[in-house]
Amino acid sequence: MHPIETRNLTKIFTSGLFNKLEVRALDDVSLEVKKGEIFGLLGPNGAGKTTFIRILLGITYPTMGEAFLLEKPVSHYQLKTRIGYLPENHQFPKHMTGERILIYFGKLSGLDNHTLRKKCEELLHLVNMTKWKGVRVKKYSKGMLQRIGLAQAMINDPDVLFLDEPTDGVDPVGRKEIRDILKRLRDRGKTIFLNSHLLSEVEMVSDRVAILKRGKVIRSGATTEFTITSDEHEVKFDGSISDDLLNTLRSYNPTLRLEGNVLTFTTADRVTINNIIDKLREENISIESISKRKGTLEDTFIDLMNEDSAP
Amino acid sequence: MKSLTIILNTVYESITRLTLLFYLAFGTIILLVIAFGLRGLYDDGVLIGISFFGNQIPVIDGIDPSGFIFMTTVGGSMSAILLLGAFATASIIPETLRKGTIDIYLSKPISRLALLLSKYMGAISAIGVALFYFMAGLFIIIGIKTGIWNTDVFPALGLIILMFMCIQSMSTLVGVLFKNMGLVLVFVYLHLFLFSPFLRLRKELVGLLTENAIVHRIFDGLYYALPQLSEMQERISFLFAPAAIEEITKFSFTPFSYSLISCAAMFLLAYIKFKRSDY
Repeated sequence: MHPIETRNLTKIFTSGLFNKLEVRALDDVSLEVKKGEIFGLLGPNGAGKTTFIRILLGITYPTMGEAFLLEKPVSHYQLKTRIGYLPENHQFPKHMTGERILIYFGKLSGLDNHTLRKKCEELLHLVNMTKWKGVRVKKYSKGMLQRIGLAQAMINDPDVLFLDEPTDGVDPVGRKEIRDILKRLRDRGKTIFLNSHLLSEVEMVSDRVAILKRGKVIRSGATTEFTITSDEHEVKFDGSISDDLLNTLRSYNPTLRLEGNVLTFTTADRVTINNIIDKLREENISIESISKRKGTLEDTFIDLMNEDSAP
Repeated sequence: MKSLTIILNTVYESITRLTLLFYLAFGTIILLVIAFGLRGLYDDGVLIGISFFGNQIPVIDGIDPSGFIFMTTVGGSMSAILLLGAFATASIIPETLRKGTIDIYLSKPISRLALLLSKYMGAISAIGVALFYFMAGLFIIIGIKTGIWNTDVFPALGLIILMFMCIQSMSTLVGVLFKNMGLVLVFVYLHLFLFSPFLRLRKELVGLLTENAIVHRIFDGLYYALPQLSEMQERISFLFAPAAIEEITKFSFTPFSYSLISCAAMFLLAYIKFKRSDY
C-alpha cells in the first residue's frame, strides 16, 4: 500500500433549504501517491483540490469512497503525528511569535520540549526566519507567513507533507528555496503532496501530477508525460528573409512559418531540417540557435481544460 | 499534555486581548474603591462597626459586617462581571473555527473532543484567573481593613466559575453553530439579561397573557433546559448574607444542579455538531 491512497472518493456538498442544492466537489477520485515522490495536484479554482487534501486529513468527511494515509483509514487521528500540513491562507493566532507558533503546534504534534527546541532552531534557519522568530505574526508579510507555515508543517519531521499553494506570496528567491527544501525532503524519502496554481513550479519539482477538473481526475501520470518534446523546431536567425527564400523553405516543409526572426516548422525528418539550414546558410543568413520545442505542463493543462469545454 | 498546551495558550491568548485586560482593570477599580473607602471602626481594639466612605455599618450581634460588603460588592458587580467575562471569551470558539486556523488544528493528532474541551477549559481558566484575582483581592482587602476573614468568598468563587461554565457552554454551542462572535454575544446577553430573568418569573408573566397549560409547560421546559443564571446570580450574592437574611433566602443548590445539567447538555450538542461538521 502507498502512503496516500484513495478509492472512488466522492464528496457532495449540500446547501439550501432541505439540502436540496448539491455540489459535487469530488467525483470518484482514485489516486495513489508513492513513497518518496512529490505529487502535484492541479486544477482550476473550485476543481476540488483543497477538498481532496481536507478529506485526507480528516478535516472534511467523504460522502463516498475510501481514503488511506500511511496504510490506515484517515479517521485514525493518531496517524497525524506523521503528517504535516500547510493550508492555503492559513491563519495563525495573531498574538504568537513565529517561534511560539512552532513550539505550540510542535507540542500539539506530540513533540517533547528537548526535541522541539532543537527542531525549532533548525527549521527557523532552514526557512530563513531566525531573525524574525521573536516578532508577532501579525507583523509578518505574506511571504514570511508562508515560510513560518512551512516550518510549522515540518515541525514533526513528517513522513507525508501536504502543501496547499506553498509558494503563494513568496518572492522568486524564496520560491527557489522552497523548491530546494522539497527536493531535499524527497531525497530523504518523504512523500510530498502539492496543490498549486503555479504550473511552472509544479513542473519543476513534481515527479507525478494529476489534473482535476470539476471534481474528476481527467489525467494523471509522470510529469515528463505532460511535457513531451514535440517535433516542432525553432530556428532563430540574424538578418532578414525574402519572400522568395521563404517560399523555397516552405517547399521543403509546408508547416514552416516566420515570426520575427524565428522560423518554426514541424518535422521528424532530419534531412528536411538540414535542407532548411543549408539553404539559410547559402543565403548568408546567420543562425543563432536551433531548438526542438518542449511542451510545458501549462500547455498540456490549458489544452486539457479547453478540450473539455469545446463544443 | 496536548490539552494542557491548548488550555494554557487560550489563557495566554485571552490575556493578550484587551477584553480580559479590561476585565482585570474593572476588578482593580472595584478593589481600589473598597481599599480606599472601607474602614474598620474600633473601640478599645474591638470592632464595633465598619464605614464605607463615611457611611457607618454597625456590628450587630451574630451578624458579620463583612458579609454586607461582600454581598453588595459581589452582587452589585455581578452583572458587570458576567457581561465582561462573556465578552472576553466570546471570540475563542469562532476564532478557532476560522478557515485556515481550524485546518491546522485538525491536521494535528488531537481528537475533536479534546480540542473543543481544551478550548472550553481554556476560556474557563482565563476567566477563573481574573475572578480569582478579584475575589482574593476582596478577601484580603476586607480582611486587612476589618480583621474579618470571610472564607465564604471561596465557595462563591467556585459558584461564579460554575456560572461561567454555563455561559461558556452556551458560547461554545452558538460559536460552533454560527462561527460568529457577534451572534455568540447576542445569544449570551439575551439569555443573561432577558430570557433568564423572564423565565424565572414565567408563572406570573406568562399568566398575564394566557392560562393555556401547554404554553406554561413550554416555558417550564425552557426554564429547566436553559441555565438558570438569574437564580444563580442571586444565590451567590446571598451566600454572604448575614444569618438573619440567610434564613429568609434559604440558600439552595437546585438552580446550580439544573444549570450544570443544562451546561453539560449544551456542550454535548456543540461537540456533536463540531464532530459531524466539514471544515
